[in-house]
Amino acid sequence: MNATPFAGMGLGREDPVGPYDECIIELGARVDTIRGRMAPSAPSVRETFHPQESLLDGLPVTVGPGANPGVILRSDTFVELGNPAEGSCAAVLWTTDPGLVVDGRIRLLGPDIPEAQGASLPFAQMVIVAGPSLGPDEHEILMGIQNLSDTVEGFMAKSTSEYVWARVSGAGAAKGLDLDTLGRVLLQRVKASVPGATSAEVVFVTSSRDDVRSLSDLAATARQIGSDILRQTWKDRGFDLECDFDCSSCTDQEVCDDIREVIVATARVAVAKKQERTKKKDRTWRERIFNA
Amino acid sequence: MVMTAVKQKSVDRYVRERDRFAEMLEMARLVPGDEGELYAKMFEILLDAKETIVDCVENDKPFIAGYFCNAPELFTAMGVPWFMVMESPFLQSSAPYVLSEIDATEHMGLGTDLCTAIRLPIYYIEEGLMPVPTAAVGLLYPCDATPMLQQVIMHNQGWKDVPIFSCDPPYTSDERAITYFAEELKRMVTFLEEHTGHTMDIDRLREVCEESNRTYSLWQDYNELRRNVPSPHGFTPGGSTAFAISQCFTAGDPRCTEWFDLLYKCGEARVKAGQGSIVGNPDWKERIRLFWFDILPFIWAEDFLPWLEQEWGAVVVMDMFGHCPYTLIDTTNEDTIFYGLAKRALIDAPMIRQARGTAENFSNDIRRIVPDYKIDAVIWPGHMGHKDGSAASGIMRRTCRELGVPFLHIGLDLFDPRYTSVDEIKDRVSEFFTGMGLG
Repeated sequence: MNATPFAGMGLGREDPVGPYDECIIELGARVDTIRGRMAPSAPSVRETFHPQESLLDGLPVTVGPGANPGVILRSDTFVELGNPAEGSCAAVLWTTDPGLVVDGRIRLLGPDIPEAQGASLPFAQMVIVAGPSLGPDEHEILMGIQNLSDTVEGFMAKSTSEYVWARVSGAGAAKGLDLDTLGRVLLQRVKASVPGATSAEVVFVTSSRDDVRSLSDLAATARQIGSDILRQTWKDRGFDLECDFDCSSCTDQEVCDDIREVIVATARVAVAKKQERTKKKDRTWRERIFNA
Repeated sequence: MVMTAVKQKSVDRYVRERDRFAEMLEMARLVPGDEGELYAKMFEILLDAKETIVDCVENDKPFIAGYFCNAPELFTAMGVPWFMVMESPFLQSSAPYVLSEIDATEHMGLGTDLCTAIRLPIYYIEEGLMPVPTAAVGLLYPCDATPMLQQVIMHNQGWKDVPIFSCDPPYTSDERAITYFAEELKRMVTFLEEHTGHTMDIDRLREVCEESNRTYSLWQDYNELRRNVPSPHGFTPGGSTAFAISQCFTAGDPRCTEWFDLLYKCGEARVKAGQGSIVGNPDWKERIRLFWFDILPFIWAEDFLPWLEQEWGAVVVMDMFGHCPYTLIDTTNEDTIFYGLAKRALIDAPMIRQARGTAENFSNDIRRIVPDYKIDAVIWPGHMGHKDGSAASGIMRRTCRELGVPFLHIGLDLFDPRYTSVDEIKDRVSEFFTGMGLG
């Protein structure tokens, strides 16, 4: 697995064990940088901790499939999160090293939903999961967790492909829906969907477009690593996502060689026929001149 | 200006389609309310595109041939009129005569296993039925058949003086690939400047891309409405029409944004009223929400899609071309603009997204679209030209199985109902719905 985009960056870890370990370490460093940049007057990092057994206790809104049954129209929107024009990125990073994750922690850098009525906030949503047995088999399920879709009352994640772009309704905000709630739902989804996940935490960034952008390349790297994992997973299932362009190992080489021979033979016949036609034409022309 | 017979022939089909659009526009203007205006605005855009090309041909103005995935915002910013080489098979207006043209492609020796959408433009070029542009922008992806079309453009006698430039598509989809393709788009702009006399102004390009972002944002917004149960629209007017309006005739154009604004308004009104795809029939109910994972069969759409809705209450809630996975363009500077355009052209645009890259896009899109749009069944029509996708049908089937949603692979020609007859397709779909307990 190629997970070396941060190799040589002095991240202080020489033996990453999982595909995303370097991303997780780098995320920690970047969160610290964002925290350092934030104005002293602004609400700095808000951290909450939630034990697994009480993740969904006392939530202000309903959660579960179809909890937000309809669409949230523009006119009903209290706040928009992650409009790409403002900045948006999302990733799920998993590791087998529990030491890289603080279980139940939710960190928020920047304004929360109740403080942003009518705003369009930049938004980064990073979910970090650890479990000693985690591997490629859990990868697709973990990737699906970040899409809350319609599972939180008053929240609608748009159907986008690479980032999270969402709306919070006025009714949802009035009930007290905030990012801590979303974080708890995400943590619950992780624990409920992947039994091997022993710890998980969430980072939200809404402070500025630049801050969110500073995590975008991390999310892009995570996507690339994810693609590599998926490719291998499908290969293990018997499906090759990519063609093998190496003739020496291609199982269809014999067929390919046959086709090539047929093409060469057909071309030879065509050339011969053309030569014959040219000769005939030439002869006809000579005969005509001669006869004239 | 008096045109030569050759020139006249090359533009005849365009004149015919222009006149057809003019008729359709008049009819749409008779439909009251916002939905009437929506159709009218759509035909205005289509009609204007046709009129512009006819005007260019008649008056010897520069224009180019291109594709929706050549970053058409660049053409708009440069003010270069363009038409899509592979346009007619996608236009319902071609339906009355397209079958005889498909027959003609066979008579000229083109294999019936070659994608009909490629065969038709080859026939038009070879027979002198397509306007000969000042320059052409080619397409070397997503499938093996498209380079063949470019070869025809290069070697056809009537097009021998037409300079052609094709961006080189990288195989991968990572940052390096997108950056590489962005440079290719810059080379394309240089080529167009050289051959059309139109120039690129980066401020104008920024304006166009910002307009384009507004268009695509509205499209995304509109698509959210289709998640509602019932979906406010079926196979029309959203879906593939949205694709056509956003990038097939013009792009980054305020008229496109206005159209999407109106589309949203119409959709929102239906959502608020609890109305579905069919309005005015109290007995009708949306019963099956479909993801049609390909182009809609425009040529025989009228024989099939209304039947789906009326007979089965089956609504195409999402299709390959109606899906909106586009990234908004970062207009900070020239590099970010070209990067954004490159990503759209190489990775986001439909069919390109699925057929050029690795097959994981098939699986990923299904995984996202099925739950988001509350899809009850996925249909991979298996268009005879989309062999790449059919090769990935095992991946799609398995993904659907994991999601617990039924999957149907048919095998048909999206443009020629004689390949698999519409009746046969109806039978297959009916058996599928019944067998899966959907009907």
